[in-house]
Amino acid sequence: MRFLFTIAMTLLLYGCYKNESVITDTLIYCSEAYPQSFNSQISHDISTLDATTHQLYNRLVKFDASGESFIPDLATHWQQSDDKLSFTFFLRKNVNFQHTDYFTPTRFFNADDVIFSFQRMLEINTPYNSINRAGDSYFYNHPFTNLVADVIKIDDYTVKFILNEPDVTLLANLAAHYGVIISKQYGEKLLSIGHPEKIDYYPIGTGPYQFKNANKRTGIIRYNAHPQYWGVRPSIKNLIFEVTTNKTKRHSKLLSGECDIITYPEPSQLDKMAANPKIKLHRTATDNLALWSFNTVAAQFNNKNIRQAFSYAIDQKTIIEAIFFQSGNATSSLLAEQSWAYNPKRITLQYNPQLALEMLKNNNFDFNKTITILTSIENSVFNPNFHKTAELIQINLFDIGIKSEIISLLPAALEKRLASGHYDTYLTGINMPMNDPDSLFRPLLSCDATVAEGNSSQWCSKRVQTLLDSALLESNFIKRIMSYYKLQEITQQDRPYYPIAHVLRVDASNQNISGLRVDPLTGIDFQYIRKTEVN
Amino acid sequence: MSLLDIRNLSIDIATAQGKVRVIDKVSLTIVDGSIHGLVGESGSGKSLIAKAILGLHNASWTVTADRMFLGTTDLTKLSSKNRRRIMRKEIAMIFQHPRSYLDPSKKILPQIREVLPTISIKRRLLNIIKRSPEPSPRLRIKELLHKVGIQNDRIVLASYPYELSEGICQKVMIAMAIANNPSLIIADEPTTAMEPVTQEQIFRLLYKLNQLNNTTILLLSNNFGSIRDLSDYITLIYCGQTVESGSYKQIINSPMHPYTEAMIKTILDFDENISHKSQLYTLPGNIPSANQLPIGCRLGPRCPRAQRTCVINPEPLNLKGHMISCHFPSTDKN
Amino acid sequence: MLNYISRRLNLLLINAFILTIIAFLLAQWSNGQSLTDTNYIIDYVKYISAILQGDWGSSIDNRLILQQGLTAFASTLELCIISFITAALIAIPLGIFAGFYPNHFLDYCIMTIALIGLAIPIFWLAVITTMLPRLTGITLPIDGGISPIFEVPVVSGFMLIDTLLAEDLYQLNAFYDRLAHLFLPSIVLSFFLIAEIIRLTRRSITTVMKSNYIKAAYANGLSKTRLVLHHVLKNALPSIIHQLRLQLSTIISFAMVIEIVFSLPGAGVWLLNSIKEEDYLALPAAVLIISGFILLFSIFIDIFLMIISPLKRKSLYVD
Repeated sequence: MRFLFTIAMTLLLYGCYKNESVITDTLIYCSEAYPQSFNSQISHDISTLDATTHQLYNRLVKFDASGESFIPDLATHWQQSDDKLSFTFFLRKNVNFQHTDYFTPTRFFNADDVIFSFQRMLEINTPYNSINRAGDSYFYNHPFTNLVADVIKIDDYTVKFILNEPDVTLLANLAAHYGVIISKQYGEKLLSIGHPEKIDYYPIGTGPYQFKNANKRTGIIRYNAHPQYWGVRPSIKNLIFEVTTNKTKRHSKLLSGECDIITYPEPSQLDKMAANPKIKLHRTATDNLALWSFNTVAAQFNNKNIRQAFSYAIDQKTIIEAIFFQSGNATSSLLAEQSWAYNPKRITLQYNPQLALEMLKNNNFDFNKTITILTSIENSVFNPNFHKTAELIQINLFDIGIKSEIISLLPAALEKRLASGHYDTYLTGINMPMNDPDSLFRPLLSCDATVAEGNSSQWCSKRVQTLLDSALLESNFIKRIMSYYKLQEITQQDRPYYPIAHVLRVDASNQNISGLRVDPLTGIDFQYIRKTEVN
Repeated sequence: MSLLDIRNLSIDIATAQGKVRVIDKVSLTIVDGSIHGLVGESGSGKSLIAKAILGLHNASWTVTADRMFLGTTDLTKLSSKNRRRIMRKEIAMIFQHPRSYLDPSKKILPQIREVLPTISIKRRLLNIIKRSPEPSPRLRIKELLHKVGIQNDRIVLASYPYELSEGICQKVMIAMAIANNPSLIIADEPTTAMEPVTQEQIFRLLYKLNQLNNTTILLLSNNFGSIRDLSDYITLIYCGQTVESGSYKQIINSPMHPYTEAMIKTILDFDENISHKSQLYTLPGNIPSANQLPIGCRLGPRCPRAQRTCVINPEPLNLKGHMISCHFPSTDKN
Repeated sequence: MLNYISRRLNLLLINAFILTIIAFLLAQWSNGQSLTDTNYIIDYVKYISAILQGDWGSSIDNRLILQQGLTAFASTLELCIISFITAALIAIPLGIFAGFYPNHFLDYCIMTIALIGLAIPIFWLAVITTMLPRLTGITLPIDGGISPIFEVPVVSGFMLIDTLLAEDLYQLNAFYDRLAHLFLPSIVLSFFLIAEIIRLTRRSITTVMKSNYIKAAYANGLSKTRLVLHHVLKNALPSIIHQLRLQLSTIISFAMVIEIVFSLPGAGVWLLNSIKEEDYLALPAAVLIISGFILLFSIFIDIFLMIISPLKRKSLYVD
């Protein structure tokens, strides 16, 4: 009898357990991967963007909620010069940098910090230019760094950007994730104590949340609300990121109350989650594209008819259904629908194996050769399951008599293989970092873009290159759009890439969370979240 | 005045070959205050009878009896709780290989203390009123041990069973048995595993108990010789059937059953001259195994006087307290 | 009895020696050195003296391996202890019941449960349990050792104790949270433990019930409850404990698997991560810690058995 009583008492103790969701000033966000760094200037993976851009930092300008126009962030207003070669920005006053246990600012934010942040990218000779840079990152070199000649300080609260050529994309660049403003005082302090690399791992910014601590092993990152934030103080005082790589586990944790918000749930479980009244799904259309690229330098694939034939051989609908479920939209164009340069007159992709077979035969395709489908072992935001997609493609090819071999590699080995050029096709994806079509087409099609940067089809055509470069400089908006339309026509005729799907970014939250904002280009924003009591 | 009156006790055991009647209509009458010897070879069923009396049998046994009376209480009709009370107060049992019957994980003192009779509340109150305190348990235990002949009680009480010899263990068991002053002690081959000196001590102790406290003792043994000097009455059992029963004088002087005669003949009398390496007397054959019990009189196959009528169970004859079940008793020495 | 203890300690020393050799070989291998160097005896002596002084090396991110290993293993032990207590509370009464009434209907039920518990693979059960919130709506945590809200400083490595020590920070919330995080994993481990303990208890009790002294106790007229509590349990316990001691390594390895599934910060996760990060120095440390613990614990169990079971006191040889 006494035994049963003690057991009952112990079990009752569990009733005292309260889920985290009840604690309304703490938010736990379960993300997919640990950020590569805490500075979106140097890292552009989605985990870093989620962890930093809207949380730790501010930029000069940002997009409004609809994503169409620019609103002030750290710059209150701006002016473009008449010759369109310079932009003047007037900065906000009384903005505090974050005050943590590893840094105390002694002055407000001013033009020096703006200069410091951008010189890091532009000026090769500054000490911070080479810190934490693994090789030549694309975004250090172009287009932004090609665009801007210099940033000069007019006075403490005015800066001027001098451009190399008249260019319309400066604001979009400044609103991108690499336009974050970091603290010059902090940079100098770190230099003086001999630990400059800490600038990207113990970050200081002006944003609503400040960094508390992070542990890569346990995958937990903690933020506190910035008490002297210049803007609206967020209602969530403690922000915790918990990295859970397993998608099913994330879903379970959402249901058990260990996570308030999760990202990238398993696509096959989306239906169930949508039907569950306790969960809210947030879908954001991104410009992330899953695609299949043909190596235009490899044998046989340099013939554009063969590439077209291959595109007729693939059943896109099945892939979307089997891999993406509700988290991706089938697409026939490289550019997402929401882009302003999207060409409505595009050729829809068809599934026509007969035609494919005919075209291959007419072009003397060697059916005895096994073609390689190269892909990554680790899944990514572009594709929840690379291997399965490759298998579906393999089956489609097999149906028309083509033998294929799937090679899945870990990232290190993959890079090597891509650099060597020993592959026929490559299953991958690409992310548009900036809301400008150039940032999509350049890495895919430019002669200067290397395979690692995105040009896995090794495409180089003078015609395309001229189009790309001219469109970048074109200030007449209409002419610009026409250039990009022409570009899309060419890519559809020559078919260096087969676009599979535009990925939706899905985040799921508990029913009691409201005010979640997700920007496809710059990541998740927790500032406006309100968490109500759970009954 | 019979203390224990058992008539026609039969025990059936369910085996793989069906129900086997291991004890066949055994009758036993124990006179109050006597020492009654129950003799039978190993496997004749003596322990089964003892267990049946105490109610320690397995659930798979079927125990039937015309009568099983202890004094005036019918043992078969008791509930298990009353049975337990009877067991503690009226009947006590001591066993063969006494060391294995003591809890090996406890010292002797707590084990004896467990079986001490609890003093009722009434008695406690009376003691308080009369101002005569009850002796402490330790003292009572010391008395008990002295009664059974253990002098150095302190050492014995502080020991574990495995540290004591069989003789002392048996004495301890007897002490535990007499702690409650039972009217009947059943001793199941108490001395089989001991050397003769200790055997003598144990028998003398039992005899003393019988004389001083008037405790009835039912002594089970497979050795006719060891109990013949001790018992007032003797019952012989062969293969689960009572063969002959009577007072000591009757059995020894005028055995009527062939089995009894054989038993008596097997007693070694060292006064006689037994020639070197001569064959000792036994009945021919072996005890039948449980699944091959003969029909009727079970001594049949081995009996020197067996006839065809022996396949029918003989009716017990009672001649002045001398009971015998045989078709051909030897009547000459009557 | 002293004989027994000294023999036991001898065995301990020999076992420990063999363990250190294995750990030394692992350490050599992880450093990329081969055994063909002629001064391996000197290396071994150096290694042993380093171990005994507490210098076990550092991992890649410059934390002491000894510290890491002990903290991680303490968390595993916590899980084992909690599971054991839960399992014992449930399984021992059931086992006693099954032993007392063999071939009863309930006895068959209990033994069936035990058989299922032994047959189910632990990792499968652990994975299924992590899906419990999804399937049944139970809001018990399935991941992590404690909620990230609570930053509890590591004092003893046993998080339950540490959360109690950090009472001024979080009151008892951290303690309850830790218990809740341990709940589902300990249920999974208890499954196996319950099955084991039921079987062992039942077997032990049936053996004891057949013994003579129980019959004598019946003959002395003792009631059944008194019988159980005073005679049966005390005699049945040694063989149960002895058998459980043999199962200790299985229990620890199951605990490590469960930890990996539930992401508890224990030895399993520590080892797995070390191997993933190619920090092989953790392997000899783990060998020493875990096997050393099992050895020491076995000795304590032996001494404990000697205390409670007088029969074992007279045994001369260790079994």
